[in-house]
Amino acid sequence: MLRSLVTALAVSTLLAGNLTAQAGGSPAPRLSPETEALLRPVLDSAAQDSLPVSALQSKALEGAAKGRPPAEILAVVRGLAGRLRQARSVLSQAVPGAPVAAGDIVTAAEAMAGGARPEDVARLRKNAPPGASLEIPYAVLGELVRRGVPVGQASDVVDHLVESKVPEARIIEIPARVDVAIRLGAPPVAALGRALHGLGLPVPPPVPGSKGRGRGRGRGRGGGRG
Amino acid sequence: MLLAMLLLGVLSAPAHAQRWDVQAVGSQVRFDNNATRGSFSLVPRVEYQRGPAYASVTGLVTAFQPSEWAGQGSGTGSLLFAPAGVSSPLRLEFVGVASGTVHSGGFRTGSTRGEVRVHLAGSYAGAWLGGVATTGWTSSGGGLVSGVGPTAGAWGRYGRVRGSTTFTPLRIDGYWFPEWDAQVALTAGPLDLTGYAGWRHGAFGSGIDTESWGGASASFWLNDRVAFTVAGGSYPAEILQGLPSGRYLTAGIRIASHRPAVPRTRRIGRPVYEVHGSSGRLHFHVSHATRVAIVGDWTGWQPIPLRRGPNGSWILDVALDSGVYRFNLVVDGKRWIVPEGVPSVDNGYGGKNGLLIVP
Repeated sequence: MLRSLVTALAVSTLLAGNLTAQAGGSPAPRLSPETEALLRPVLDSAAQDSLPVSALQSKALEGAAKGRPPAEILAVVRGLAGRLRQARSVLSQAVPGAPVAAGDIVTAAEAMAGGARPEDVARLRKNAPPGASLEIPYAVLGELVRRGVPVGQASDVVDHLVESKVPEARIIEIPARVDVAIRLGAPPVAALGRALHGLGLPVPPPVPGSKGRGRGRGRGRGGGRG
Repeated sequence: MLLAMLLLGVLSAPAHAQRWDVQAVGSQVRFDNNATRGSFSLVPRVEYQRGPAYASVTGLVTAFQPSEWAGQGSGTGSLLFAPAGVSSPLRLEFVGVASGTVHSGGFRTGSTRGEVRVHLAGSYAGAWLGGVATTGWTSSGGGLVSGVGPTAGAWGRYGRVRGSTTFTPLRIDGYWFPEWDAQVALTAGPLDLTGYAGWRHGAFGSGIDTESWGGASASFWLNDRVAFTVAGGSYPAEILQGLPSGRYLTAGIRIASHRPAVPRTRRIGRPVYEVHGSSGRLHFHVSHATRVAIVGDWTGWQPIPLRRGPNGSWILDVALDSGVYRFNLVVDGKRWIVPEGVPSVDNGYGGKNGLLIVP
């Protein structure tokens, strides 16, 4: 009697299957009135400081779409506003009087959040051709630093590429090339060198005594998309 | 063995899924006293997953020659967390299993099992360490029997082959019973094949013999819902519930809501943006997907479905100015994906946003 039961146990054990999928997504919600009310002072203050309010609104919408509670959305937006305020200050002081593009502020803030130093961000802006957008160079700078390239060397390279008026379409290829070299075993600095060589991009000349700071300081005029 | 494959399924499945399966099988079993019995069984099973939670319930009713019957029910629940964020390979899992059996002659058993596991889980392989506590009871007396011990295991997959192995030394009534088992599964066209093997050391003086076991099963799927199944092999005694070992041969038919999915490694390529006159086109390569949508700062973080292109490509016609955009993909309901190799930034909400850089 007892043993016959084992048949049942064996069958159930052997014939189990794996879970399969029925995909499901949900539409992203808009901001709730509560969230809007919480954010109002932050957005008003940002507008008064000429920060890119659309980036803050987008961050709030992202939080709502990802199901975050209003208090967390407020904290994230407030934190982003602080970083944007710092980035705008760095960019404005680098080239006083020149307009600062919203995209430059956002990507400069992201680069600094990723480890780029304010002086690197400022140097890039000073040395850039007048009116040039730095949105993509800042993004690439941040990516290189996140991949382990020392910030000074990453800054030197991006600064040199911008000064050399290398097209952005070429510059944005660098992080992926660095990834490939790192996967093949190269340390980050060597990987950056291989990436530049592979893309046929100019390598910045070595500057005696420089560790990635101060090269070409103050030579540019700056500018940006207003 | 099943718990090991459970993790593989949970790691591979989308955020929300359910499945049912009913099998009708005839069996011939030879027990360890050489007695042989024939039987017919119905085996319903339901599985459900939502986010980090997974649950399954399996029932079983068996009629034996000449006029006996037996029933079984079991439920498994699992919670899988990413305590260091989803980009970290670290996972923490809590598993609970409860089961019971009843026989027409009045014999009953019950058991529970709880596990805590710490996983290092990658796309192709993973391993875990943890602890197990389990209890068993039978109506024939002896009270509650308990066992505790550590557990360790690993899983891996390559193409359509996946496998797992587990080592669990349980301490029961003062004796150690180290047990190892392994399972390998292969999907080839309409055929699902599974093989398993195990070994358990019986501690001297415990009255439990050292055992080894093994077997194989095959399901041939006529379509996505119906399959013929055959299985044969041996299985061990169940110590805590006092159930003996045996050998078996079964054949039957299986009807399901859909065929079990083969865990596949989804590859999501970097986006490519092409300018077409005054418009533009965004391409992603996403393998093994049925639905792909994108959310980003240019969509107000509202999902925009991509349309399927040739050879695993997914396309969105969209005009974007030069600049840097932040985005995530939603693939078959799995949300907030950043494709491999794409530049990304912390999004402030505990995850990452991919950067789409349009020159």
